[in-house]
Amino acid sequence: MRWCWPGLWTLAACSYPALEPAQLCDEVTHAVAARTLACTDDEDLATERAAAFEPWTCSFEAGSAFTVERALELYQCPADLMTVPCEAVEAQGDVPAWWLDQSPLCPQVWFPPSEPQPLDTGTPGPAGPDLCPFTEDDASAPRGSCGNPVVVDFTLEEGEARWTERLTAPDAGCLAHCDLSATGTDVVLWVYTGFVSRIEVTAPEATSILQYDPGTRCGADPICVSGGSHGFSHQGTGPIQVVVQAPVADMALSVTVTRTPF
Amino acid sequence: MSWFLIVSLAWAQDESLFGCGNTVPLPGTPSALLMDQSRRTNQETYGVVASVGRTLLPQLENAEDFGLSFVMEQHVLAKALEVPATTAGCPDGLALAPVDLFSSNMGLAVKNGWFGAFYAVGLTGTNTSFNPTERLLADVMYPQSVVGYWFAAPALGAGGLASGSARYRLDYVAGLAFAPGPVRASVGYVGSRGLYVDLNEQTTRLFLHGAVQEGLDRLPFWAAGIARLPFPAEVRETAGDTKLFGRHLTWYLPGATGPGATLAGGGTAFTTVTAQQTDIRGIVDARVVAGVQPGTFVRELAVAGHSPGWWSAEEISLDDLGARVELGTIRVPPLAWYGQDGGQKLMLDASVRAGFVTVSARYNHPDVLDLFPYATDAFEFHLMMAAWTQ
Repeated sequence: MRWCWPGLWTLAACSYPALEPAQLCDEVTHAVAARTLACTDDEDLATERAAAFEPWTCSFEAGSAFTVERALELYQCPADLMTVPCEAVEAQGDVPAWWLDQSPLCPQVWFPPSEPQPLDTGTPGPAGPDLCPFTEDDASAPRGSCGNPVVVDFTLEEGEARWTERLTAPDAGCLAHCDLSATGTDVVLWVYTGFVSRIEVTAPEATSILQYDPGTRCGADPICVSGGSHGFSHQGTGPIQVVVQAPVADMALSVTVTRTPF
Repeated sequence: MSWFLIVSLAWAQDESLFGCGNTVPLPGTPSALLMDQSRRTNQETYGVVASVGRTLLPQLENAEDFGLSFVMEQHVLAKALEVPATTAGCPDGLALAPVDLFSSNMGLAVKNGWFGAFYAVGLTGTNTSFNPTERLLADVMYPQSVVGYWFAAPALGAGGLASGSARYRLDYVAGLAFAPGPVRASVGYVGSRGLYVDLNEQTTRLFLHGAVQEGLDRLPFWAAGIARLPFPAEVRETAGDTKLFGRHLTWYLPGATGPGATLAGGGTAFTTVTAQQTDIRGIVDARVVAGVQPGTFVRELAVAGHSPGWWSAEEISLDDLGARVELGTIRVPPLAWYGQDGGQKLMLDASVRAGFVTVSARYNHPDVLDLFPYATDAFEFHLMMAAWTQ
C-alpha cells in the first residue's frame, strides 16, 4: 500500500495498490502458460508447465531487492517469453529452466528449487581442488561489495591464453577465473562464481563456445553450443568449464558474470 | 445521481485513489496483452452492435404496425483486471493499475409493418487511472458524448482516440430489419467494417445470432436454442417460461498471434448449456448452467426474486417501478494463462427500474465472467434508458 497526497476525498481513502514483487513472478508463469497454449493448443500442457514452477522460488521472496528501476527492467522477462518461437516452445518448453534461459533477465526472477539463498555476505561454495581454488584473499573478500557485473577480458595470442587484466579485490572474491589454458586454437577456462549468476561469453572470432555441465567435468558432452557469443544461467555454485573454439590463434575474449540476486 | 453514487462507491472499495497521474501499462507483458484483449471483447460484446441486438430491436418485436424504439445505455465494468503500470505522480512510480472497461450506446429504430430500419452509435473504452475523479469522468461522463456522435458519426466514421489513461473507440451501425411472417431478420453495416446478422423464428422461438467481424472465418460467439418452450398458457401462468439454449464463446488468449502460434481461433472454447425458468408464479426466476468446455462442470446455480411484471411489461410507463435481486454461485475454471486460479464464487445481481430507466449492479455475474473469465470479483454497472411505442 502506498499513500498519496490527501485531498477533499480523504474520507474515502488516499492510497493506491503497490506493485507487489510476487506479481512479476506470476507474470512469468502466466507467460509460460499463455505461450504454451498459443503454440500447442493444449490447455492441460499449458497448465502443467505453469505449475512446474511451484517448487521454484520467486527471487523476491528469497530476499532480492525490488526497486522501480529494477522492476522496469525485469518486466521485460515475461514480455520476452511471449515472443519465444513456437518450434522451441513445443520442443523444450517442458523444462522450467529452459524458459528462464529465453531471456537474460528471467534467471533473476525465479530461482531453481535446490538453489541456496542469495549470497549477499555469505561464504563461497566448495571449489574442486584441481579446478579453481580460491586464495585466502578471495575467500575472505566481502561479497556485498562485489562489482556487478564482473567482466573478465583475456586474449589468445599466438596460441597462448593471457589474462588482459587480473581481477583485484574485491572483485576477485566474486569471481575466480583460473585454469585458463589454450590448446592450439582452443581456449579452456573455468569460471567459478560462488553465486547464482548469468554468464556471458563473447568471442567474436570463435566458431563455437562449449559449456560443460559442472557435474560432469570435461568428459561429458557440452550442454550448449553456439557461435561467437553464448550466454547461460549458472544455477549452481560449482565451477563451469567453457571451451572457446576458434580457427585462429589470435583473438580477444570476454566473460561477463552478472550476479542475479543483488 | 444514484448512478454516480454507485460507481463511486465501487471505486472506493478497491482503495485505488488519488495523487497518481496517468498510468502506462508495461508493454508486452501478459497482463498488458490481456488488457488489449479485454478492450476488444468489450467492444464486441458491449459495443453498438451488441446493443442493437440486445435492446434496440427486441423492443419492436411485438409491434404490429408502426413502432419506434429508443435506447441509451451505459455500461461500466470496474477493475476487470489489473496491470503492472508506470505512473506519474505516485511515490514509487510503479503500481498495479485497475483496468475499467466501459461503453455507451445510443440508438433509434423504426418499424412499419414487416420492414424496419435502425441506426445506433457507440463508444467503448478502457481506463487505467487510479484517480476516482478521472475514473468518473472517463468511464461515465465522457462516454455521454455519444449523443453528439449520434449526429456526426456518418461524417466522422469509426475510429479511436486517447485521453490521459483512457482509450476510446467510436463505432456506429446502420441496418435494416425484416419480419416476413414468423421470421425476424436484421442485417447491418458496422462502421468498423463488419457485418451484423440476427435471425429469430417467432413460432418455435428458435433463434440464432452471432457477430461476424474481420471476415467470415471468425465467429466470436454463437447461441442457439429455444426461447420459450410451448407449454399451455395455464401451465406457463404458474410455472413460468422455460428457455433452453447452448452458447459457445471464444476466450481469446493474449499472445495467441505471436510468432508461429497455432491456437485455433486465437483462443480457447467455452461452451455452456443453460436451462432457465422465468416468472415462476410471476415473481421467481431460476437458472442452471452446465459447462461443457473446458471440461464438464456445474457453471452456475441462481435464484432470483422480482416484482410482478418485471419481464412482461408490454409498454413503458413512467409510473412503472420494479426491482429484481438474484443470488447464486458460479464456478470459474482454473485458467493459468489468465492468471486465474478458479474456484467457486458468490454471484449477485440487483436491478431497479423506474419508468424508462433501469439501473443494475452485478458482482461475478455470468454475463460478465462468460466474456471476461479473468474478471473475478469485478463490479459491473449498467444504466439503460429505453422507450418504445407499439
